[in-house]
Amino acid sequence: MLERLGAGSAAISELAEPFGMSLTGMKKHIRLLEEANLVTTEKVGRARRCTLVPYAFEGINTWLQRLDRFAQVVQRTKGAR
Amino acid sequence: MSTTVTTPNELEIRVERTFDAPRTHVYSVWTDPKLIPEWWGEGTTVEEMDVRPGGTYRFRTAHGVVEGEFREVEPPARLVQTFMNHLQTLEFEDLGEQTKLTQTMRFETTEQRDTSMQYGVEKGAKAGFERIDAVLEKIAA
Repeated sequence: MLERLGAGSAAISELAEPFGMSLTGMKKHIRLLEEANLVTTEKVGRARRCTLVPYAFEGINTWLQRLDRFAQVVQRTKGAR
Repeated sequence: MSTTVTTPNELEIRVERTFDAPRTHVYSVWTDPKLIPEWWGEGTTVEEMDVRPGGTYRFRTAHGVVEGEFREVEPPARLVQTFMNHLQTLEFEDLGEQTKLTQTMRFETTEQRDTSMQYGVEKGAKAGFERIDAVLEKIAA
């Protein structure tokens, strides 16, 4: 289900179907994930769409890797300015 | 260049790193929207980058949208910005041909701080899934 959400937002019915879950059951799951701040939902027309919270799982190591890439850009562009 | 990561108090993570370039250069790379995709990862597009107090930034990355607001802007020495669930203070210290960046991330709660501190790269995803498992177990209970 999270893999599916990783690819983009989805209607709750689209999430329930592949698991053979009832819409009510899936809504309950989503509500708990929402309370844990892992997903957000919004009403689009008659359906409710669910989206993974970006960077909800980002930790300090991810940030440090980004700083490594930043250092490389600093080096590469050094002299060019 | 070595990086140090410390937790100076109950709410903050501090990252210190020295770059081998003058301060004006480091600051200009940090705030250059054209260079952001290079260090935020392939496929990143910068939708907004208004580096002024009260200005906002928004990047669309492979992992979702990143956005926040600049609170203090003092080129080339200091930036204060919101970043998702926390506040970041970036201090660029002039060491001549080098620049020391001190980045302080301040969270609302110690729990949020500790969560960010604990999550590694692969471990992060795994810990995220464990959190979801914990949530789902609550349904069963």
